[in-house]
Amino acid sequence: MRNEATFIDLKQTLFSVVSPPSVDSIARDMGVIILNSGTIHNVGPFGLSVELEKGLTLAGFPVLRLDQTGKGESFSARRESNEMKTLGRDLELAVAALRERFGVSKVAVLGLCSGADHGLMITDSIPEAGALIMLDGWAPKDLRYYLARYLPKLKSPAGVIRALLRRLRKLSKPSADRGPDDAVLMDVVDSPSRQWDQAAMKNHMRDLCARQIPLLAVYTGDTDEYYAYKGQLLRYLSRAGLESKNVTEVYKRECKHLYPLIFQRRILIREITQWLSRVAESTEDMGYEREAGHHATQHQR
Amino acid sequence: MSVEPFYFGERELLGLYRPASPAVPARRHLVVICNALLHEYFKIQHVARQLSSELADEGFDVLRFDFSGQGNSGGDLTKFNWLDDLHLAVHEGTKVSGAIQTSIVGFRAGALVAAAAGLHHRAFVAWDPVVDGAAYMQQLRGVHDALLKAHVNLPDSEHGSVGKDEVLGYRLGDEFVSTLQDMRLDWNGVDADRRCVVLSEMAEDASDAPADVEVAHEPFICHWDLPSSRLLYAHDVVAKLKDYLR
Repeated sequence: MRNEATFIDLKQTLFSVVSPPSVDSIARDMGVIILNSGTIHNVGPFGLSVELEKGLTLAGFPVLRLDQTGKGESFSARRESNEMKTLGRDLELAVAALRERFGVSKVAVLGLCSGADHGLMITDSIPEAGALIMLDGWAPKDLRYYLARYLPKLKSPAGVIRALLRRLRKLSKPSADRGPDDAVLMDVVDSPSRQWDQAAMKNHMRDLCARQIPLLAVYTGDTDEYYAYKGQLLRYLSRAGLESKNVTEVYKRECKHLYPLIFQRRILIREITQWLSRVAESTEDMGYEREAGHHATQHQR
Repeated sequence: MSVEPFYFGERELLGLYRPASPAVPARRHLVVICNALLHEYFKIQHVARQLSSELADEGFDVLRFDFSGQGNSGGDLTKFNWLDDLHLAVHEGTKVSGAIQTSIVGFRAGALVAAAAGLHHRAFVAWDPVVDGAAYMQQLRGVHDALLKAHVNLPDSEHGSVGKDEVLGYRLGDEFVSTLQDMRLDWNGVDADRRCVVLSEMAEDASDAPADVEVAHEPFICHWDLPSSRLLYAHDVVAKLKDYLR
């Protein structure tokens, strides 16, 4: 069976690429939906989504790479009255497409940057949600964040002056004249975590934890603007009194936001496939136990 | 009518075929769009989609496709298969559309490949074509190096190991690299009734093109030499490309 590039809505406007699990792999009852990163289409930045898809299908997961409404090949798809409704409808169709083709009962949502944040905003409302994987997604700042980010800079007055001068230069330059270093950072600066309503994001996280949906949050060394120390998300969950036993937080300082290097992708794919395989296996075990319990109950009757 | 995606060829190349709109007279004229490559591929996705849509509205059949090892197509970049890919795409596109003439739009290195394919077209239109394969490879390595330099957290163990055979997440085979490096855009070898080039502000010079090559300059700034994968929105460029195909 090969990949299928297709439209998944009746109007033929919502584009996705659906990939079956590898024939030699373990059969999974969970599919994976990969969301867009920023405005980049379903292939992902420098082809990252395709690489993730290959790793996940080898591990037995069917994968659907979605072009959300307004992005990539779904540029002209119909928008609902608000962004969340549009996202909700897109995900509903993506879940149905995976269920129809592979019979899976659970889905994991995976996104990088804005895709991770979209994942957090929508996964708690998907009945079939089995996991969420956020790559450089939302993280709430706390006092320790500011200390971790700015204290080391204060140790070097020259560094502080250099940073201030850099900031001033950047502000005074028109965007078209920016140099290569700025461009390297552009997609990072574009990271959307700070633009969302923080209270709403906290609510989504609370709902996700309440539903005990497993979460893998991976942060790279490029997330200074909102993530500055290992354990920042778990610390927030603990202080907010939220259940965090299903949350795994990983800090990959050696990786860049878009994982443009092959060794970084290898690290990421291994992390995700191993974690998701454990989640899928434990979900399947629980399902088996539930089913066994159900049969036992029927038998007793 | 919307896009019809399909895979073709042994390497499972993805084609996105958009037939001519039924609202206008069909021209029976297929336009094959050759994507930019590697990191530039991501920048031009919106431009390619927009051009395809607008051409279909004017009665053209349009085929966009991903070269092997790129985007949604199968294959890798160990060997240089892109000339074969283009031949196959033109063949498949003609078969699907029933067109009686073809034209090519080539973006960046896509134009370099298309110019070397030895096919006859009604029009050959290039946007900021790569002129020299060796210089292009050097530029790609420069982009990759800039990325590494900006990577403050790169472990020391990786400094020497990355970048030898990889460029921005792609592993390039020796045969692939040497073939690409040997390519030069030869306008005299482009067999087309109309040969045109649209140049934006950061494009390579086209002064050595023959006199009959139509050249349009667009005041559009595009830093091809930067590794950002941000989308370009270039409406004026699309309008000019379309003009040349009419």
